Amino acid sequence: MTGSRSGPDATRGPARPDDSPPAASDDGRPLLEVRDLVVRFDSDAGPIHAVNGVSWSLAPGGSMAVVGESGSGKTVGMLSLLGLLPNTGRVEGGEAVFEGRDLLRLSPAEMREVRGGKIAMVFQDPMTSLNPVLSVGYQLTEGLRRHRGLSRRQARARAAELLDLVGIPDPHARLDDYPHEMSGGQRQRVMIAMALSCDPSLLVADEPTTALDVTIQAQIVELVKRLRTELGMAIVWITHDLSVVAGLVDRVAVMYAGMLLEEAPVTALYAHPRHPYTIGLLRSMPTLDGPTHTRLPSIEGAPPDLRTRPTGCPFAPRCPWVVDPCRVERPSLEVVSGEHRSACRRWRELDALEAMEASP
Amino acid sequence: MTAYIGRRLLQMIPLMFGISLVLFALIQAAPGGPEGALLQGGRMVDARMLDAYRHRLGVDKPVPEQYVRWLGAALSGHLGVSYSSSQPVSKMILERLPATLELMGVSFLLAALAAIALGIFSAVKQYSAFDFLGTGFSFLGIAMPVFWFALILQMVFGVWLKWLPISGTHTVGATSFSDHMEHLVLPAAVLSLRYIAGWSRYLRSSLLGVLRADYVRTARAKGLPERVVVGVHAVRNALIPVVSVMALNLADLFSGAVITETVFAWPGIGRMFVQAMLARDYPLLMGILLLGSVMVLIFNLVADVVYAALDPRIRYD
Repeated sequence: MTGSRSGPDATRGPARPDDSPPAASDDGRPLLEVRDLVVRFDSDAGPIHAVNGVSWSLAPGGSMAVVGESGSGKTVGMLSLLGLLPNTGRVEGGEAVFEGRDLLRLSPAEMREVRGGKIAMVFQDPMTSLNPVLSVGYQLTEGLRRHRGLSRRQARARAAELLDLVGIPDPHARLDDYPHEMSGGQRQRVMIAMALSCDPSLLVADEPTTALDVTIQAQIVELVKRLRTELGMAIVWITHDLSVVAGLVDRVAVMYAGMLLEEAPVTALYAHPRHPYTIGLLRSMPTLDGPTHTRLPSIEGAPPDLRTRPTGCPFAPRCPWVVDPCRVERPSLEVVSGEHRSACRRWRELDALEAMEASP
Repeated sequence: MTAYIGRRLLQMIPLMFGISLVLFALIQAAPGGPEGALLQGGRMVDARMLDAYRHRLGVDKPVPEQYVRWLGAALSGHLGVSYSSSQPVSKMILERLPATLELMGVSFLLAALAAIALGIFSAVKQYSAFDFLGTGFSFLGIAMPVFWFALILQMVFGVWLKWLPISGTHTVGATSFSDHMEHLVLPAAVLSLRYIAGWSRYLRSSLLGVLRADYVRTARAKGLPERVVVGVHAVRNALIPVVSVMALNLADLFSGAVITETVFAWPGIGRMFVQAMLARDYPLLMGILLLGSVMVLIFNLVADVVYAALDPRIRYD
């Protein structure tokens, strides 16, 4: 898990005892390894630097959350791996090795086999992500017939099983429903069923709970947790909500301005965040035992304008503990401990800096 | 749905009364009268003869009385007798209707197929040379006056190249189907041009919007080939607004046939309408205009029904 400027990539090469690649599986090979991914968008005002050299990897059956605010490149990065960027976007560099092949260099036909068949996506808004004029059954069976070669009848039977799996009652009857005849939560269950239909080895969930109300959010999170243990697929969960991911994934990657700032096992990230941005994010979360009737702290300033590629640390303009070198030199991801990495040059001092801030 | 269609048909009855009243008043308000046809004949007529003629036709009575008499006859199925040909209006219309319906139907099919193909290619290949050509063609098609375009085609294909006949439905003496089709080419091309232009523009912009929709991305994420993504997932949604416009335009095609039929001497309702207008043939005018009104109402209903058929979110009950 390294930034583009970091020396030898820690996820490759011989594993050091205390620094084994977090993504390593039994045979040591990650399911998906992204290296130095760069994505740009064309705009009238020049290129938008959406993803600026991001590297990470995921073990088979592993789970990771990618956390960041809007425009941090978390969604664009995943879409680019599947060739689903809008027309104005393009991958400028990097590679994404999935089951031995670089996704970024597949032919259109090879990519279609991966999409839906090996890597499936669940999108943010279930209200607009299902086709309004096609029945749920039709949309569910399309992938099965294409990737698995099932007949119409077989696909329909499998589709009913899938609806049952994601907890939709009376699945056979619901196959003939249209999306508008279902609630938002049910539609997201259908989206998940659709994604799972061809037993993908990786499920990418792009803020699947953002458009749903809180009780439904919890149901969907529980559903994905259950399905993950039952089916054993790997998960990348994209979200801007740190509170959602706690019980859901093993690792969290924090993105900002198209770069990876911190990456850690989920418990370590909550207990010992080693990047000022992560600290800011965690502080701005409401807690049950926190003070009432006070404003939640927020991070001063605004995210950088991505029309110019950030020089130095992208968080420097908003960082309370910024020092001069931060503005000039882009920090590399340094190993904090084990699987915990931070792109802050002062990560060692953060405890002291926080204590000073609290005491004056 | 059946109940809905039945209700809509019932609603048309009072509407048709209103329409007939307005039409009758408008026709009577136009200057001149059927006796003008006698004068145009160049015969020596005196005022007494004119009065006798007007009395015989019944146009010397007050307009409200004429309307009531016309309505009474129309309700019992008699649309009256043409002033100029002394034949029953309904018989005259039924004789001419097949030719008009044929021209309309062929033009509609031609326009729909060409517009859908053009619209899809323009949207999928946005900003390509094809798209720019299509845009240019569309503006030309919308802007060009129908009669002028008809004359140009007659000159190019009929007079210069001598490929196609320029008037009528048959060569004198010929009865073959292919001869008839040759006569149909130019009028159908003229009548369909502006609809090809308009509908393809409309489908292009509709499809461009749909291609950016989340559900199209979902379809791609499933690994479907682009042909299926566009053909099944996008086009069906993009067609919803276009098809209702098409159905509504069917009524325009009926009235648009007036100019085309006149220029190409196509023996349909349109040409008969022009003749009836010039002769102030009130019963025939009423008959044709009422038929046009019924078509507008029916095609409106068709548009609503098609809309519901394409979009499962629309339900009438």
